Amino acid sequence: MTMHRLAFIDASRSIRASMGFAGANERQIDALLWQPSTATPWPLVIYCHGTDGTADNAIWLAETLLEAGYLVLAPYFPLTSRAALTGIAGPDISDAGEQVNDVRFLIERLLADPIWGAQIDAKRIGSAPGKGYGRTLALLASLFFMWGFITVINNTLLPHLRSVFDLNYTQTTLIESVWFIAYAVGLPD
Amino acid sequence: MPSAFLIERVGYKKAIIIGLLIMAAGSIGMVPAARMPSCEVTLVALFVIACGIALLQVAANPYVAVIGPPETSQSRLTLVQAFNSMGTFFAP
Repeated sequence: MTMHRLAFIDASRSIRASMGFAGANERQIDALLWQPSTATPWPLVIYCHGTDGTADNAIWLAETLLEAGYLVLAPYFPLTSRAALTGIAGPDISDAGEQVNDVRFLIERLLADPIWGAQIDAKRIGSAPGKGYGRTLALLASLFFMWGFITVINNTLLPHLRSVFDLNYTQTTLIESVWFIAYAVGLPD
Repeated sequence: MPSAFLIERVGYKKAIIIGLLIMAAGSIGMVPAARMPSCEVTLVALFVIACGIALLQVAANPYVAVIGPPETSQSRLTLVQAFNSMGTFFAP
């Protein structure tokens, strides 16, 4: 895999003055482009970093995509990345709406490029959001908690069922084993 | 109900949601079982809940592994399994 540093300039749009940046009439967007070692044409994925992120803050995602044969373009958004050319002191979230146009501009420019354009599969272009996985993990952890809880609470249910129903031996065994029968039915491919 | 087939078709996230919905359906089934009360309905409801859990188990584990950097997937799995054990500890 090869990494390229590119600068794209959109003369039709500007960068407003914000967070210590004086403003610019042209919108320059620096970006990293990773090139896979597979045969062309490559499908393209734009990695869009989150607030106060950087183009390479999810390098693991880029590497995974590269191995799968994707061309990965990761811009530094001018007003939401402190690593961008603007040198802002902090992210300005109000610029987030402009990022949609940034991505559109980058795709158009890359497809129009004499070298890159010919190597991109124009029908397979997508984007990957850059966000932390902390919340997802927290949610999954609570899911695992609940699942452990339910598995054990099932066993404590049995004495109660015995007091309500007049269970024979087969039924008692069935209640204990129905959980594992479901696993046997549900798990196989 | 082949869980792996379902996950392949709809993806991890939707499979987890479907698993949770199946569990919810089973839990709702417990209400008429307790009202009647009927041993068979209880059994069926338990079976439905367990089916949902089985689907969750197949979908949630690999999902935890792939949501972040591959190098730290082991620590993420250990973390959620710790929560799983915590659930089994607090339940009784």
